[in-house]
Amino acid sequence: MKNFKDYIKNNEGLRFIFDNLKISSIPGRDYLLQCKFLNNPFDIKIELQCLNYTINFVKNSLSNADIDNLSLRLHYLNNISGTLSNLEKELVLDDIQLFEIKKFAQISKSVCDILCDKGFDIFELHDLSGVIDLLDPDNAGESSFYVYSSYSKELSELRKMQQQLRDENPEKAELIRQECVEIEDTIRARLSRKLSDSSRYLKINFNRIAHLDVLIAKAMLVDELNLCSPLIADTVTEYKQVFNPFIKSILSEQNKDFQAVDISLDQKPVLITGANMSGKTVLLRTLALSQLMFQFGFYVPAKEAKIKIVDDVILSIGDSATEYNGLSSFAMEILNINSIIEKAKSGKIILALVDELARTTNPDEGKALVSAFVDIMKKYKLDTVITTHYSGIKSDCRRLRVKGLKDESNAEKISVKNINDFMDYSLMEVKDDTVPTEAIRIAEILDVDKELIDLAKSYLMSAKKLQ
Amino acid sequence: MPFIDDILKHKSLSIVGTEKNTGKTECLNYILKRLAEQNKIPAITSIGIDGESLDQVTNTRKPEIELDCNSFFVTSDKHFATKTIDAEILNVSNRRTSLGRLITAKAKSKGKLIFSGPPETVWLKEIIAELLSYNPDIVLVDGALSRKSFGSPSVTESMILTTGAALSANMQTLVKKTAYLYDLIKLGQWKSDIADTLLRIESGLWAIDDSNNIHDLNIPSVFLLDKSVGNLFEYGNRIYVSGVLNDKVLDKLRVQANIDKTEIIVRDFTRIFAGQNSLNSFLDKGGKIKVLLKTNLMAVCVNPLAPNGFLLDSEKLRALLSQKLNLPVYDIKKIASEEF
Repeated sequence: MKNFKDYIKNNEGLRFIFDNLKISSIPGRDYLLQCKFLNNPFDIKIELQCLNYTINFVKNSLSNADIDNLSLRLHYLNNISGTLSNLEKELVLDDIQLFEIKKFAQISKSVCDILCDKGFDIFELHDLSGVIDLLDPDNAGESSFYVYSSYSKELSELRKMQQQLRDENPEKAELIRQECVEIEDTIRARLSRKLSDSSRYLKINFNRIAHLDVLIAKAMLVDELNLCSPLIADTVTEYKQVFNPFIKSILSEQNKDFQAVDISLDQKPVLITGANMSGKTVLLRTLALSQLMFQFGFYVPAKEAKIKIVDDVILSIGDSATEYNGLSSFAMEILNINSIIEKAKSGKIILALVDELARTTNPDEGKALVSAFVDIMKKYKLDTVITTHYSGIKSDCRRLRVKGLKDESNAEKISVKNINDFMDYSLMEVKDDTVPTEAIRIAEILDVDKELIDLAKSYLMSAKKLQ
Repeated sequence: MPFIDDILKHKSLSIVGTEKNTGKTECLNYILKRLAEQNKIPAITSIGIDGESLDQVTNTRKPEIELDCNSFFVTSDKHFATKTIDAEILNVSNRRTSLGRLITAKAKSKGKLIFSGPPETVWLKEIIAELLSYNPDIVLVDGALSRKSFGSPSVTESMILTTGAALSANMQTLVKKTAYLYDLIKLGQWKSDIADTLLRIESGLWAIDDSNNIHDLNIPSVFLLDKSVGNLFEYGNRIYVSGVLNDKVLDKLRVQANIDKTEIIVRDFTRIFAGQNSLNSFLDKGGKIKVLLKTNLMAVCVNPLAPNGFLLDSEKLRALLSQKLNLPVYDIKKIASEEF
């Protein structure tokens, strides 16, 4: 099963979410990156319950100062999973690893102090004061560590002697230093042995604190991006006012709004048509992002959402030609489609989102391929959304059309800058298999060469006359 | 006692060699010894992975650096493991260098250590700030004038330059080369609140317009300048060269009509690889060069002995340099042997 890290590599929307999460610690970051794509209703429910709890807890029980305080502590957390696994294997830790354990135990304690005071009880953080006491024999309260002289009287005396002899008798001093090193090693072994009794609790706390860091970041994102709590659907995925936070943020930098849309997917392939620049590709990206967020236990970008759990999300958008050098864009796409079909046939439930299938080949064969793909997806009852400019796709499927340019009476005012204002991105159900013919109109809006436009129009006219 | 009181007026000092075997380590050890005598606490780190115990070029043994009890230091995992000093670990970095994480520690005994440090400028600044948080009397940086190093010694407030027969066995050439470096160190600073942003840029040429917006000129390297000279001034006359500034760039710019309004900004003097001639003709025509990081050169230390055994006249060398640079010049080995 793929993890978060695998998905952000190819999904810029999820990358945007990741970049906007205020995770305070490196272990928190690593925790999220290694999170598995959850495809089991129980796991998703648990994670969403934790998130729910955290949202309420952050809102009701934590002040801004508490949050700052907490994130400051978390900020100093190192990733000690390597050290913890050495401890589990009962290896002897070196000074750096002992330092890491001590520092972690102290952070764990201060996090616990902040949270437990406020009644945080979704998961327990174990008391690690035994660990702290062991590694802070002088009770100095510092997070630093070395093999303190107070661990052994003999060591303490030898160290003093070594320093005294260092200038007078360097050879003797070196011998004493070697003796010290041996004693230090036995102390490290003793400390490691004692610590390994607590290794289970250290590990549990480490994972829980990393998880907590992620939950708090997820909770903060909810208000920031206006996300909603998703419900788990059995068969039909249904969004009210779903939007794409990544594209929304790009638009808002240009003082433009993102128009959220409603859509439902009911295990029958959906064919989406619409003019160029009508947001078909964005819709596919949005559906992919929302599904991924849902199955990584986030709230989702919509007003309401009921989402069916899938095993994988495959988004095929024809602009990633760099991945497979030496393959044409068509070859790439068709191999992608093939992998969707292979997965479907192996019984995987997938969400397949395909942008303009077979657009890079001749329209006759292209249409045939689209129809065939739709038939196969229908047979396996997979949620599939395909955008196309091809008319005359006869397969049995749902057809949605982006409404497109709203008001042609203001036609002369439309330009590439304000086209957003004139476009209605919402979807309507249609029965026929024709497609909007607005390509030349959009080209005009984009202010391309007039000769090209005029010639194209006259070709179109004569073609129509022939029909 | 030369310059110890002066360096204590600054919070941080880097010691930079014009060449290997110019006596950088002796200089650092000398400073440490003097600081110890005054019961001053130093904190020490290095730029990158310079701290090999054998000099890899000449295969001569480099003197290790000796630390006193209570000194603070930063070094890598690898070199921390080989230390012969008791040390209390204060911090471990999350990021890694090629020699592992960086360990911040406090010496609990006298002993020897090899230093390694952050390989890039912004991280070095952070490490210096971290060391300063432990309230030492001064932070010392074992610096490098390396073409490969992305860490800049100029992030410290002050600097000592070591030079010597290893740079050139001809005294006139040695003085001339050192004086040219000093000219570069003296270049004016471009002060701006976008300096840190610029320091994070790793490659390419960038324009800075009058409102301090940074624009990518899409010239990934000065070596690809030929085709794009025309677009250089699209956003104004101020250009940030994030990599090296070489003869080629200066020669290209010198012949442009707006040369007297042109301002080139580089990270610091170590990024200037242009020869003296092309630099001077650029400046003579009215072009300006500024640096983001500027440091105070406090003194020059000389090592009259070349690794091949060639020995220059220490007195004469010091006199010549001192006259040319108008700075104090010391022969550390000589001073140390006279004092101890």
